Amino acid sequence: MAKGPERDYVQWCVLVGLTVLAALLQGSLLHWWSFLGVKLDLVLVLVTSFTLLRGRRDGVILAAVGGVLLDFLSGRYLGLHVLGKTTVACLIGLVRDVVYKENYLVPFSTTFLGTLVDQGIYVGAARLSGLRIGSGILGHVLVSAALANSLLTLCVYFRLAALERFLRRRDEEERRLS
Amino acid sequence: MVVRPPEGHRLILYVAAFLLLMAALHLTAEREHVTGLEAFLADRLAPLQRGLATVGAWTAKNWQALLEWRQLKEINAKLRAQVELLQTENIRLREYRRENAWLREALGFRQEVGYNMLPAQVIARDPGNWLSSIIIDLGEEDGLRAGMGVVGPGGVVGSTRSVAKKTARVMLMIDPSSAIGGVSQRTGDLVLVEGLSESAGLARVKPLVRDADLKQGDIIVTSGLSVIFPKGLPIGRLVTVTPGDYGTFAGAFLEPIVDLARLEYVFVIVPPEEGGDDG
Repeated sequence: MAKGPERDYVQWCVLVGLTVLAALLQGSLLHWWSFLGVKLDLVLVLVTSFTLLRGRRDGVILAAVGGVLLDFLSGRYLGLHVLGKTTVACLIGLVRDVVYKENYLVPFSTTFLGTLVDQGIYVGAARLSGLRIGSGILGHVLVSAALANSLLTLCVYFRLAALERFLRRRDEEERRLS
Repeated sequence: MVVRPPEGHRLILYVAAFLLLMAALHLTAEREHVTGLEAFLADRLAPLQRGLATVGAWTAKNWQALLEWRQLKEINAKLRAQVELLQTENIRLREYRRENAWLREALGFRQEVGYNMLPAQVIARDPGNWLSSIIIDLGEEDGLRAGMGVVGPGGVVGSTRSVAKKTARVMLMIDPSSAIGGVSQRTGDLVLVEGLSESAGLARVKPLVRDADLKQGDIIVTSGLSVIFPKGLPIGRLVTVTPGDYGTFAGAFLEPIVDLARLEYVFVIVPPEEGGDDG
């Protein structure tokens, strides 16, 4: 069985693997299953969940990995997804220690606001880079995306939290025994 | 032990990272070529994306069929009637084509050069809600380059934007960066069709003549003024037309003829000079 740093390495591989899979699904399969007329942002859901669970550093790393991959898959404006997602991870990291993470409202509202920030940065930076994005649909897309991502977070977050608790308990037990 | 940089240094690091990202954003806007790393990733991920796209399309189609099975009988009857109608219309159109060819010849019109079409599968899409692009499984190796027209069943889809060895990115006509020259089939007025965003699914129509006469339901076709698309390819149908003051024209929105949300296969138009023997 993997121990100590080796286990950390395995955990990181799983986390990055999940993020890569989320980015790939976002650009292929999820197009056929759009919700409220928008595509779900799996990478952002993972970033908000893991930042709440594991802290700012881990969240920012995952946001950077997921963001870079999304930018590459999008193939247009390099840096758009990285900028939004790392900012969201940084912001959540700042408030992480002062919120009660077991409350349903916390992951829901964090993802809701996180989506607004991420998409807001995306649209703002894209506009600065010369892209025309109509204001007419801005509100609709922002709110729909925020709602859709938040609902998905509710399904994902508590399962990830249970897994995280299990891993932490196991680590503590092993440390006590050794 | 992890060595953490002092707070001041960290701030400099954040600012530098931010500036680097902004520079990357600025430098990569509106480009025709992807970086080596992007091309490498695109080509390596293509088989996986193709698999996911096929699974997605298959599941969505069958799920939809399951949901709609009650309506299928009714739809079938309607479609049969429609097929009969279209068959009759087809015969009439063939007659028009023959007549048109004869008239062209008679009037000394230059016969339009036949375009070569390359079929391609859609293997991925833009992961976000704002940009509208697809990735197809043809690339440089198949003779593709940036700026080639792409059509789907019934009309215009978009144009190739950046091309890797085995894959190419197609910017859809509803992308905010897209602009296609069109003409109203009813009146012949020239218009510019500009994309809005993926989520809107519509394009904005700007008339290029002052006294443009556009009405809801008008079909807009390609003008043939660019080298990307041949003349007369359907682009879309006007769904909203807002009249302005004093008989002027405030704005119009167009719904693409091709269902861009459900694209599985497209055709890339190879310009005549690159079409080889067929050109």
